Amino acid sequence: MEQEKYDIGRNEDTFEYRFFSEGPKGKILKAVQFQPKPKVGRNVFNLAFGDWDESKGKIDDRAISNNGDRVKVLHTVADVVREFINLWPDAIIWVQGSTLSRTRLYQMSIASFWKEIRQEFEVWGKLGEEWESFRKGVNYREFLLFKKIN
Amino acid sequence: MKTKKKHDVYKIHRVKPGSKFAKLLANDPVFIRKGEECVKSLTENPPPEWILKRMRGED
Repeated sequence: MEQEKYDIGRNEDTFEYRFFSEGPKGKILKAVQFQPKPKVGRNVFNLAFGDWDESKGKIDDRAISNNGDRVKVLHTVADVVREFINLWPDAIIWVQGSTLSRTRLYQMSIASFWKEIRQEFEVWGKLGEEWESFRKGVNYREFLLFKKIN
Repeated sequence: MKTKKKHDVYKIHRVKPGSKFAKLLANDPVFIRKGEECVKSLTENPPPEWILKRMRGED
């Protein structure tokens, strides 16, 4: 089934994507940014996601919008990640929520689409000090996401 | 058919090195914090070697 998601504005040169969340609280600008981390490796990016604060010119990754569209927003973020990896197929994306509850939300999203995700992507989770291949039902604090080599 | 509204898609300014926006990003606490956490995590507790090689583009 086609998942409902928002239109994305993109800047491929700077790895920035933005879209509007629409709900009872109005239109809220969301931003997803991929920050290269060449100190770790040329293919490593970390993902920043949150509300775009136009007045400060930066992401607020701790904002809680409660705009009634959480699933649609997560589908849109997943779409952004898929599109970014298609542009940069060697990318390895490091993801950590700004809070434990947000990390848990990412985990639940991965778990709910695990059947689809695992066909295309490798997902690793950090459990304690160790990285392991993602398993449903395990609480991870960080994730690595990258395209499978077939 | 749903028509895409022009204002629905945010027009993003290209970030040029040294520009005001680039400086804003360089000083963005979220970016700095996330970046430091990412580097710390992956260097102190690295994933398996085959993933590290892929990270470095050596595979």
